Amino acid sequence: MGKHFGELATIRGIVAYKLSPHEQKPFAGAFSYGIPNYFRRFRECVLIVVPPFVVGYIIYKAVEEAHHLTTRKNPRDYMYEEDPNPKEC
Amino acid sequence: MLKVATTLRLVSKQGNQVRCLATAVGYKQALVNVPPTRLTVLDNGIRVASEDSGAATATVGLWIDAGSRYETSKNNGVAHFLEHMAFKGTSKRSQTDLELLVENMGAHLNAYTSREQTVFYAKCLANDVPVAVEILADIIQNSSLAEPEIERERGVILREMQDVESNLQEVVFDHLHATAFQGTPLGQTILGPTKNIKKISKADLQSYIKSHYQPGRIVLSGAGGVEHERLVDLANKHFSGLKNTATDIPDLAPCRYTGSEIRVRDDSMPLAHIAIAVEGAGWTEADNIPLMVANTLVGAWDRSQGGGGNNASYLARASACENLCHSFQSFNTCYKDTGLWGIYFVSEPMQIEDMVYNIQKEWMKLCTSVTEGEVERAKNLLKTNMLLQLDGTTPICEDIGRQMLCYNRRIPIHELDARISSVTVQNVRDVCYKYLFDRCPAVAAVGPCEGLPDYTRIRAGMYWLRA
Repeated sequence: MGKHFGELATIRGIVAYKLSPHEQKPFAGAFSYGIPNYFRRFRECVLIVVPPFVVGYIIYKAVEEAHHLTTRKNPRDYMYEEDPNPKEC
Repeated sequence: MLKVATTLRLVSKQGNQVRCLATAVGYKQALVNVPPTRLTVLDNGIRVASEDSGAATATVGLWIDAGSRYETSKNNGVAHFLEHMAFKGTSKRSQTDLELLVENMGAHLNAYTSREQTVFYAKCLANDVPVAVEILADIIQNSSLAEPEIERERGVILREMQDVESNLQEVVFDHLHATAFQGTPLGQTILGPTKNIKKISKADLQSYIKSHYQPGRIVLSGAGGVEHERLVDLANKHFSGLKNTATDIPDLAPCRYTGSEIRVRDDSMPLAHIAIAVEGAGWTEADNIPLMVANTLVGAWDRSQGGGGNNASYLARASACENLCHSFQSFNTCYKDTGLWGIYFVSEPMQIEDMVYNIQKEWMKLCTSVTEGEVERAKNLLKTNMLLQLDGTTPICEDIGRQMLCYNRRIPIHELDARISSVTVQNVRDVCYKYLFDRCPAVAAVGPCEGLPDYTRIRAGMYWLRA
């Protein structure tokens, strides 16, 4: 049923090396290199990533406002309204 | 008969013990009743060690503390090159003279290089020992190292290299050393890379002789019909010219072991040749004997052996019954301060994973729950193998030479026997736990090895979360 490891592909002449994970330092350079690297990466893409969001938010805000204005009732229509069920004192 | 005997043994426990005692005494006497190994250190530091069994034949040889481990990546291969140049004539006699002399005596002159030792030895009649020692002294002190011979020998070594490359076991072990001791001299091959063989010069050879063939690093060992006093006289006569020079004994840096793997994938080959090992003990470490017992316990097996499900070794039983491999062989390779303990097997591509699973199961069993019966059996087997090996003058001579270099003394057989006897189940478990359990293995695979589990999975097989 199906193929198993050992018969998946025919490969010749590839030499693969691997080092035990225990031979490696998992947090090598996390402070000296890793943290400054965060700033570099932030700086490099902040101008590409942030502006579309800002523009999008401005559009969203404007549209929401416009929509709100178009859907609301005209307050002048109710200027002289009387309460049909006045509260009894 | 055999069946009856087995049943009887089961029934009469008492009688069995008596018989055991009777044979045990004979065995002990046999162990003690071996000619002593005598040692003399000459003024210039050469150690002369011999065991005189009074036989009609003898083996004498020079064991030198030099090999591919003492080389750098620049001159890797020099030790082996020198071994080849040794028989190519000296300042006193030409190659033809040398060969005629040896042939006329009917002697055998031979040499080999390993990672830590270079050996020249001669097998001859007891009467010819003086001539043999003279020849050995001549070839290591006055080798002519003529340019045309060096050029010719390059070709010979390159052909020998092709020969080694066609022996897959050697290829796998070279890869195993290269990955387990990566970046250290122990990772180098004995023959050296082609590049070095092509450019090694007379000056390289001479400087290597000067720095490594120091009397303090040489053992003259003899076995068979060799009288110790006469051997010492001969050594004084022929080796007194050797002097310890200022460039004394090069430092031997410790070789760091690295858990890692190398896979040379070639699916056009029918079988995968794989070695898995962990870092073992050096020659002088006390843990070495329990490791040897554990190694014997795993054992060796190949398809030509019968037995099937009746093999004593669990792994042999599994291999035979479930068709897991064509052969396997547990090994314990020792060096001065480190070693490799593991297993080499040859298997069909689709059986590799099951084989690795069974090997690791057996290894983890060794660490946690190996039984007394298994250990006793392995101890007996180890003792028997040890005694079987010392059969003949050449193996004894080899044993003396090697032990002189490794331990600086010859361990008497009865001492070794006592050391093996004193190993207990708990020893084996503890030592295996120390060297095997949760350790990073070194893996070398050549051939169709897609089925070999990923390194991290092999590493995960090196511990149990139960037991």
